[in-house]
Amino acid sequence: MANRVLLGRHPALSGNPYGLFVSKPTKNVLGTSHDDFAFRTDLSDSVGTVTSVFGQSFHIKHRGEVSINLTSTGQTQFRDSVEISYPRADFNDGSNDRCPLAFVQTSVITDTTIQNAVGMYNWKNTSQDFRTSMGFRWELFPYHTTTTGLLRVQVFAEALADDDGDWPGTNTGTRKVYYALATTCISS
Amino acid sequence: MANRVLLGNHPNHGYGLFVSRSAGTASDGSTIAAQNVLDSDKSEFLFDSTAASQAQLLCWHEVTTTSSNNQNADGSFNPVSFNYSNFGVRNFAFAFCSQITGATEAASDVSCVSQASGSARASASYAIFGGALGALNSTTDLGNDINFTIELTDLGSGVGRCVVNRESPSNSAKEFIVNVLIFKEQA
Repeated sequence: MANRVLLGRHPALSGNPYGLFVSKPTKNVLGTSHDDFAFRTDLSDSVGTVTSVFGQSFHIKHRGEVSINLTSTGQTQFRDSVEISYPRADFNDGSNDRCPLAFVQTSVITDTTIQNAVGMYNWKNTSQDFRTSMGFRWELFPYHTTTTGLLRVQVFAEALADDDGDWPGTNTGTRKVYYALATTCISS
Repeated sequence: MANRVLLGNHPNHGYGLFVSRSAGTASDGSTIAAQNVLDSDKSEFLFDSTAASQAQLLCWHEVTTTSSNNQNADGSFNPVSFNYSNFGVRNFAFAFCSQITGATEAASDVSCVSQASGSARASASYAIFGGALGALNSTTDLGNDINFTIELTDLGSGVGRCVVNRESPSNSAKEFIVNVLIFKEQA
């Protein structure tokens, strides 16, 4: 069986760096090809035109789910939004607050085992009869207030008007919005 | 306290390194117990060496495009690019965008890199689609007529190049930010 994990000084890599090294399944952690490693702690950017994040993995700081129910009449029969606040201090680097990475997904109506594709389509004609409202979208405001960031998610109705332009009626059943905020932050 | 780290022979998953999650609080305020690293269910492990890769990140780089990067009349691009260490393997990337939503805003207003603690800047935002939520932004030059693509190229010698193409009308005057997240290898 291949050696899979090395904690300490790597004997074969250039410079013999200290760290934690994990090879890919079936690969030997004592190898020297970059393709041998599933995880290594000696990554940095030697080109220097970007700010390296040194092989950071995602650490999910906040995750959760919220419910949303569209209405049977009015503007919110076509789309509605939810707002999720989080403390900016959780993404402070010691000097400044930073912008986290967000992941968002939504379920279809009443069935949490089926999720929407990432994307939205919202179209209407000038008389606002023929229309299509599908999917979801989101926007993150990392410095929304002095203390909180905001994730705003907009969910559409999963419906479209028929050939006569009649809206079929909005299913007001529950959609779920799933979200996760990771500690990875945008660099300059 | 739950066992959180196992280096060795896992009773269900064989030899390797495994790290389970800590205790926490759910969005409804309820307590989430720490996970025992000896559990057979590893779907919420923080680290699992039986996985093919660990999604290590090389950079999350913000790029500003301006009117000088508008498409030419023939549809060709005037791209922005940056180089980075790709370690000679194919990378995986995805990108987000930050769009101005008012005529007086500039890229510095919507940039998301950092902000002094205790100081708000509500205009800063990013999204996978861009534009302002709540009302679809169809105003010329403020949103929906600007798009972008990214291309990754291996330049050799461990150097990769990311090219950001701004797809916008030749008369588009506003700045537009793209931030690119690059992982160390292809999924």
